[in-house]
Amino acid sequence: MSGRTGIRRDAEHTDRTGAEQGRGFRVVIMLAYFIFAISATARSLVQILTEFDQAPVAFVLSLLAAVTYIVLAVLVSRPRVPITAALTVVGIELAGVIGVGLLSIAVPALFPRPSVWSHFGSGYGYVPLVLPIIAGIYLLHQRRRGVKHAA
Amino acid sequence: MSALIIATYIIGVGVGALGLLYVVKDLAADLILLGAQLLVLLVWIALVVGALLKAASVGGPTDAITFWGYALTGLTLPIAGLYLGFLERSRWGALTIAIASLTMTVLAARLPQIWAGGFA
Repeated sequence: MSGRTGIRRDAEHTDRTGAEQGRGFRVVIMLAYFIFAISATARSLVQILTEFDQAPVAFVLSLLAAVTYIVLAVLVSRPRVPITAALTVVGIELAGVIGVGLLSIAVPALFPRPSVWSHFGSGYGYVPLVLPIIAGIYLLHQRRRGVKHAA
Repeated sequence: MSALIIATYIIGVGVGALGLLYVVKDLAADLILLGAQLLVLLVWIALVVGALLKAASVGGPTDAITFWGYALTGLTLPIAGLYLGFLERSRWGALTIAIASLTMTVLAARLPQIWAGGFA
């Protein structure tokens, strides 16, 4: 804690002014990307290393999802979030969920085994579909507020 | 073993509900909530140790990599909740603990599906 701000931080209740960094809700997004980074990476690595030939396309797409989540977990954890970069990757994530979701429905032969983003992330309670939307709204809101983030 | 799994469900949901209560009341995670998150971690460790003992005596799960992968993932979640709940002194820190704990319940529900014999 820098202690320079002079804003008294009550231990239990928040007392935010507009000038604060506003990490608040961001920790929830950090947790979400952390959870998915770990789950998707573990799942895709296990599948690729043990039974790659069973569903190569599906597993590569799972790996793509995992990489996206790792990148976003890192980006949103920075003290000064690079908003434009993060929004770009969130866009990629959203396109990925929707694209793979549609593909898994249109060409099920490519997915004899499910991928992380199969059926819009139905295996994860459709959270992979909702997460980029929430993260995108949060990032856009932060940029609009003009909070001091890295460009 | 199955009693431990059920305890995990209840503790996961209970701590999740407690965390959500903090969120509604705009409270940061205090020692009670952090202790509750620690409890989730401890009960998961007990679960994993029990599974290890069972694997040593009766033989492990057929899908070993997936099972132990889940077990390890379950260890990271409450630790993340503890870290973020402590770092973010606001209702949002409490929300991370709630989400982490509820996710733990989902993970615990998956374990017997991956290895039915371990939790008969």
